[in-house]
Amino acid sequence: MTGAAAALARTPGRLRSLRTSDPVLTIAVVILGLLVAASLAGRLIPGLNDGTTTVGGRFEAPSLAHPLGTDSLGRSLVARLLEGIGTTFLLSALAVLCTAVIATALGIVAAYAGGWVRELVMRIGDVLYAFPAILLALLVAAAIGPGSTAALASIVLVTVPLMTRMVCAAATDVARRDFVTSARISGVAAPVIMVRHLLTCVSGTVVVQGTYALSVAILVEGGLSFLGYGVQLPAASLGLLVSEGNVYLLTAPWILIAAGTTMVLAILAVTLVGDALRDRLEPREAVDLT
Amino acid sequence: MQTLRWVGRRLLMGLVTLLGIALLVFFAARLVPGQAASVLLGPLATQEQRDALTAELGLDRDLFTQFGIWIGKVVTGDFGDSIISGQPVLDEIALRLPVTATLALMALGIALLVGVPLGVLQALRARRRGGAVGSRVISGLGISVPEFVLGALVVLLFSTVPLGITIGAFTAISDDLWLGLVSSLLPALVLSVFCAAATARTTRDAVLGVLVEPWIQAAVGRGERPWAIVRHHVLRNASIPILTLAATLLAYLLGGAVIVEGLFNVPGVGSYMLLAMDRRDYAVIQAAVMLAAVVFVVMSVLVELASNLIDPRVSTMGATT
Amino acid sequence: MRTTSKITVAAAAIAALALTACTGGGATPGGSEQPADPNLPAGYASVADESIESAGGPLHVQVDYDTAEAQGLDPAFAEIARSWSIMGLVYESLVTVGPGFEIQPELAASWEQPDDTTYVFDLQPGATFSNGRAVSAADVVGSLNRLRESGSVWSGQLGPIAEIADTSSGDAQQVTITLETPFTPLLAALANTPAAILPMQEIEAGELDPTAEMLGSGAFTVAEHRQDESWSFEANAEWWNAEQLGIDALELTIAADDQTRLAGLRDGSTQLANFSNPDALSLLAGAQGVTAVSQTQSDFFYAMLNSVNPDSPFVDQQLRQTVNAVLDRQGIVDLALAGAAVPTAVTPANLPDACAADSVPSASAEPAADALAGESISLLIYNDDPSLTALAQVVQQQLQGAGAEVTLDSVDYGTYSERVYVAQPGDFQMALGWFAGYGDASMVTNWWNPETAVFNAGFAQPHDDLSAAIAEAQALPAGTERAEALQSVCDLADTHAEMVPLATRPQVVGIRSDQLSASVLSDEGYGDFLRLIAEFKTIEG
Repeated sequence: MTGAAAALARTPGRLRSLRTSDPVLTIAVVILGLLVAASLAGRLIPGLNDGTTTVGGRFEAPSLAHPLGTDSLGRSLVARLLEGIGTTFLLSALAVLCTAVIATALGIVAAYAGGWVRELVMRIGDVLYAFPAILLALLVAAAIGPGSTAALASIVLVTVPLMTRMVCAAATDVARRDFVTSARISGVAAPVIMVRHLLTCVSGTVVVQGTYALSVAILVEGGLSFLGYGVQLPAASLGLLVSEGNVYLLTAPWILIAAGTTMVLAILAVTLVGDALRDRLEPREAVDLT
Repeated sequence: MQTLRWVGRRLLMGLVTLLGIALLVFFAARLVPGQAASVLLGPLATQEQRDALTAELGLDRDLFTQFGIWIGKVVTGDFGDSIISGQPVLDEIALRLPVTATLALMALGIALLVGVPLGVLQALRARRRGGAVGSRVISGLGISVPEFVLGALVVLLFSTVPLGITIGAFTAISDDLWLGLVSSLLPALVLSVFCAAATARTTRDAVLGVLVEPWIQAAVGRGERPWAIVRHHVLRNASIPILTLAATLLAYLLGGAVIVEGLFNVPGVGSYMLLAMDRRDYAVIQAAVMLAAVVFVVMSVLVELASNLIDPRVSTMGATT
Repeated sequence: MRTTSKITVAAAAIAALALTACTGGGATPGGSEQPADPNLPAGYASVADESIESAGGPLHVQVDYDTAEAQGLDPAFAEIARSWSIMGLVYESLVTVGPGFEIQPELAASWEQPDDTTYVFDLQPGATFSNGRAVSAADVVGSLNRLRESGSVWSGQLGPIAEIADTSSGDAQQVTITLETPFTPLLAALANTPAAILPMQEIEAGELDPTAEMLGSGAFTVAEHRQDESWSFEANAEWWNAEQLGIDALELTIAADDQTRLAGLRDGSTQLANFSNPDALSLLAGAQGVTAVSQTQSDFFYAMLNSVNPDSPFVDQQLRQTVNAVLDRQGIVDLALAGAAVPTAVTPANLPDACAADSVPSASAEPAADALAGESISLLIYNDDPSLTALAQVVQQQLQGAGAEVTLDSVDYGTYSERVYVAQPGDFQMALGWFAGYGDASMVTNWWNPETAVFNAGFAQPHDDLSAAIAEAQALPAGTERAEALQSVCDLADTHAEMVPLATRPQVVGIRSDQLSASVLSDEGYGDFLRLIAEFKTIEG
């Protein structure tokens, strides 16, 4: 989310062209904006954010007092959904930020240094990549205790390998180019080259991959919560709300409808923004066959 | 000869990866608080009982010795016995693997059958104004609907409306081939949605990547018909990323679709691993992870090999990595 | 409440260790709101129609978790409620529990109590192990002595036994148990599966390894077992009551996830399933052909307030008592347990002679509205039991309502077990858990003496007055005098406030009533919802 927003902010011209040419993207951006606003509203407006207090009976259907109904402990679903959106977005964004920092640093260093450093980074990446993701997440969660920290660490571990690989590939291309070689020969310090040349050249890749990582993050948080190892009650997250909604789908469908729709929309919007960013930042001119 | 050397080198790298995974899973599993003996014996056990069981399981030795013993046995193909059942872990996994494999292959089959045509279609219409909106949103939705939402909806639908398939009773194909296939269908369908969408997206990108090549433009210039171009030139060259993705998906599916297996009560590798985690059944956790990793490593070698055969230009055989 | 129970299952199962049995939520002596169906005999939640000619089988049953014991299939060491039910299909005990917790004959056709320390059991004529060998008094003596010497959890429930003797004469097989001092819970202890009668002759000859194989005298024999997946049972033709058995084959599937079991009942592929989620009642309410009944368990949830760990604020008895008084048990029942449970004191609310939940001192204490202001409490639970999670959140709300700052610490069961039972002193401030309530009001009180229940020593201290009161109550015959003695156990436990009882644990049994006519007791102490399986009739069609 932050990644995508930042990229959009830095490319105003493109954003304008996106707006005019692509209604799907516009809708995706609007949805994301609304979700972020909702999560902020949940945190900032007093009275809206109390998702942990019983305010009514169990499983009350949507009404004026509780527009989205109540949950198994009589808590307002509006409040819980707002809190859940906030938790999920904050957690996912934070995790992706960590991933981006780690993966960019590792990828660039590996690409610049080459040789055994590159080999080592790639092999460690392989190890994490070949480890069944959900089990990796569960092991982490069990080791440090289920909760937000565990979810965050799991998301980072699951998303770092792929992003490192992509950044490294992109950076390797750049590192072989003439202007990098000449900078090296003329004695420019390695960190300077890495930051000035490699980092700027891979930033597009980082933004695009970061956007995809964000959708993975929301999914991983959901999966972990579903298995009971993610965010813990009485806190709320989209994954937690969805897993509660699953059980009561027949008697209290409003829980799954509200939480599930929000979650799907969030992932969809992030993915579509990612697609658009990639098409713009890594463009290709394809032949139109039809 | 070069191919053989390359394969040998890749397998060696694979072994290094596996050793890394062995280290990681062994020590990660032991970082989890709650020792096997206390979990198994329960709260009412005395410290003496716990100590005795710990010694019996060989868990009282220092971790590096334990790791050495374990890895030494693994090399000879002995992954140890399950703490719960006392049976060799490999036998236990062999019981559950056919179930998971059926599910994985069905899901992957559906994904490829749906995903590849959808992806080609998207690529061909990519330049059309608004032409790809529908398929973009569909494949976007596919990767956005979590399997625990879709699975719950399917379970509820099929259990409340009589649609010919019952959810409550899973049959393994080893017990009854036909019933086994039927009861694998729904969980496989749920799994295939994400896989199909991912396949469609990768196919679209791959096809678009091929479409920028000059020889495609040449073919267009020669007046070849679009579908002929797709069949003869595009698909073959776009197949490498699709193959890579398929291999990744298969490894992921074989590694245990934990959530879907749970929802449909499928007695596969995934649910087995989950139970093993709860019970601190280290030998099972380790073996299951190692096997998933072996599948992953072998698949990636095969895929690279296949890529080289399909398009010698992308050969990595001479490259340093 | 999450769906998750896959993981849960195992953990819950393990949690269940001895501490556990299963759920409940209905009515009975203690009284709850489930209206008694006038067509049902007292003590039954469902009764099989005897007039039905049973279609035989197979009967498909789904349960939430499998037996998983350190000692395999040996009933003497079985600690999990589900092990008791599953092993109880194959093995028989001398006696069993009937409606209203009445002790009834099983392997013993009858028994006498010539004085208050002597019990004489006459075995069923024709009782036979499934290998065809007749059950002898020697098997009974051997099995019970084996249990006593095993040091297993259940051996501690048998009381002060002086001798178990074979007093047979002629063909009539007879066993006499002599006690050192009177011990009322003996029969209820003999009724549970750990006191099962094993084929001792085969075991002693080394022909049978009871940890790997089950060979009993009960209604069923095992055809196949796949750990954590399924059991296949066949009717035991040698069973002394085989003619009465309506089912010739039983397929038991382990389905950890609530939704799977709900789906199985709804689509008719399963005829019987259990749920610890009380909302299963409403979730099954509209389902075609399904009857869901609530079974009141004597099992109950309780809170542990750590008085041993110096880092715990609950070393202060005053604070423990305040927390105990602040907790609103009826509120917990209504909100966290869907009303399908009852508040309880140390003696499970639905057992005869139990004290009323509102009779203890804390019930009449009136803590100030901000009695816990400034207190900060960490509440430990395990993450795989949705009922426990719901309960913890309500407890958290209630304590916060009195001004405390409460954080929930939710960990997986292995970690929980390590911190609560293994660590010395226990590594927590406040924790929630549950006990099996068993079949006699004085049995579970044993766990309030940490010198007997060593697993509690990490967070509770021994109290001479409480220990003496427990022993005294167990020696008294059922009746008013014992009820008074138990009242003082409840009061003392309430005053010490280290383990604070909250409410009974619900269990819902779903029956596919168009395919199965089933008998289910309205009360249960050992989590065994399959107790009356011999009466079940399957319906053709």
